[in-house]
Amino acid sequence: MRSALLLTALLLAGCRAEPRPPSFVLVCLDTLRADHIGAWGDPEALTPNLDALAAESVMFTSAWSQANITHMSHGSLFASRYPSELGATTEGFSPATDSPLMAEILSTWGYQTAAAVGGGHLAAGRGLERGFDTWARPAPLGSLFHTVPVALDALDVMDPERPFLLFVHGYDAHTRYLKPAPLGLKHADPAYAGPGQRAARELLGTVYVLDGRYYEGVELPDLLDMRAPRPWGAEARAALPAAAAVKGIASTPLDAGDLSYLEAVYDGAVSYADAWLGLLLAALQERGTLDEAWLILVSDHGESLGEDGYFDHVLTLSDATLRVPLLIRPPGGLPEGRSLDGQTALLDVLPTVLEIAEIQPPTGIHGTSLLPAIEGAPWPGHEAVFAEGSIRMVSARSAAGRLTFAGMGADSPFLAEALAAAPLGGVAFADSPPSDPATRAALRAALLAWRAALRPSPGTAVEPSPAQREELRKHGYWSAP
Amino acid sequence: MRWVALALPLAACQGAGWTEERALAPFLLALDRDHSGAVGAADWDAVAWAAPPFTVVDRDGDGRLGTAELAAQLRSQDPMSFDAELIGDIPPRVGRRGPKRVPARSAAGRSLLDLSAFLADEVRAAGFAGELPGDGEVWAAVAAGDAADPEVWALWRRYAEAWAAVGLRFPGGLLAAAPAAGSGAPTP
Repeated sequence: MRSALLLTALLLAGCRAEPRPPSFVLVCLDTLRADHIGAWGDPEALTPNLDALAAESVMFTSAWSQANITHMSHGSLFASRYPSELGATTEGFSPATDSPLMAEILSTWGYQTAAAVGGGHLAAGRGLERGFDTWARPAPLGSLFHTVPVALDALDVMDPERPFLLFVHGYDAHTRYLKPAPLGLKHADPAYAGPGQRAARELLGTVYVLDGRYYEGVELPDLLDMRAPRPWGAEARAALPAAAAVKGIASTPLDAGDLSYLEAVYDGAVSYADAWLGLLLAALQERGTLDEAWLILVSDHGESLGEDGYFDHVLTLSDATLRVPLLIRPPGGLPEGRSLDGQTALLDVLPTVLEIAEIQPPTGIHGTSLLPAIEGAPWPGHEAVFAEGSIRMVSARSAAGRLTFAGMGADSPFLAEALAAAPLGGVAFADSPPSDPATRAALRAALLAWRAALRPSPGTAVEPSPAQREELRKHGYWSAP
Repeated sequence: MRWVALALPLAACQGAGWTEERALAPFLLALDRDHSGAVGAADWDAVAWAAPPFTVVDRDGDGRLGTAELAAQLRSQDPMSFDAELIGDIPPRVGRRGPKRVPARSAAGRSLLDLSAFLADEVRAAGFAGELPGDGEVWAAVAAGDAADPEVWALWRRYAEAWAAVGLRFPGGLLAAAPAAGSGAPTP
């Protein structure tokens, strides 16, 4: 009897008109710097699960985010368009409805779609949930600790006969850095005692660190002129201690040991995220998901860890704030991982997913499918990759270096004029431009060509609710209206 | 030899698909600071700030932390509040709070302000020490609201003179359609 049932099942399986389209698990470890992962070359990193995942995936070693802030970057990830094309240059953002998002496209083709996210800029009602059947935010600024169980619950109630997209997100590596034992302080000096302990523990502690001083509890825009084109520019920052003193605000100088401690606590947060990633992968393996679904792992942006004088990601566009991991693991994993060094962008994820699913991509997207590269074709990479900042910045990155222009956003109608006019050694080009004049000139030309092709959109003006606004403000996004 | 106790289970779970043991065993290896072959109380105490004592996390009481016990520990402490639960919340912040509000402006006004500030910054950085348009002139241009208004062109001319004074090439497009200075209303 049992044999007959088995035979019937096999025959029925053989009679299915078409195989089920591929499913996808998309994991975003927010604020994760690629160069603090073992597989990306950090010998001190304790990231065994990321490293093991890389060993059975295609690893894009030079992947770049299109923005230094969560909602703008996720907009580009989901739509394969630049943030300004989605209207994503303000806190009150909802992506333009004429730009279809990944989940919208897949759900149109019959996919089940579920997301478990950490809130903040990914709170529901801000547009990034478009196309998802469920969009759960179990905790404000939640970690994988909060979102993995919810994601697995969503997976468990899915129809096994239909393909799915499961999006799992966590703010584990985001400020505040300190995470629970035994990984939170794994990398830190156990004998350390100083102001870094408080900065690592306070909700916005590291955000208050600027140029070697800890302005505890002070939101820096209180001290800087946010109307200035470069409120975080060298001139404004040099005046900061004096401005604080005039206002009676104390600050604590930090030495190298303090800064080193903060970086070590960040690395503990990365290890903590890695451990939870391992638990997620084990649960997916147990359910058979890893054998049937593509797994894509990204981060939305990096983090300055003392580079440029601060610990955060919103203040500048730099390699530290934009270089992210990108791993793509086919179902079952590769027998041996492969590493591709050509430049990639988060913009490339959507067309890759759609080509795997054999779905025609929408017009107007900017990314390139990485599927041929995954299948073994050469991947020369993008000659230049672009990014937009949350406070009026644009940046181009080539293999030769990065050029960041500060003072005007991509949505400004005057950007091209300003780009063309600004002296290449001038203050508008910030954050250590390449020393080679030819490289600087080439990157400026690339920025001009990029801006000429860009079609900024006003987006959909959706203001955050009072609760969302408060959540954003609490987590350091002061410009939230 | 002492490493063998941890390394053997780690090697055994490689290639066996993703399991919790495979995911967490490398952490135990790294946490074994005294190289005793197991994560014991001393290893735990070195990294267990705001954490339960070892006797609590060592649930089976064998004196060593296993992968199942590490998994249980990871699942037991909320990363956003674990320290407050155990040692109390940190004291209230010192200093001021409250975000500085950026004045609401139209998109056109914001762009003009951006450009005005950019033009001023660049020419100052190039060494220009003369007088630049004041806030009143800039806001008059913003209030005009149209790039073809005389107030806007007057503003750009002020900056153009300053840029020329220090040898910078002024963005030509800004004045490309402007009438000659003093010629009255712009030509459509």
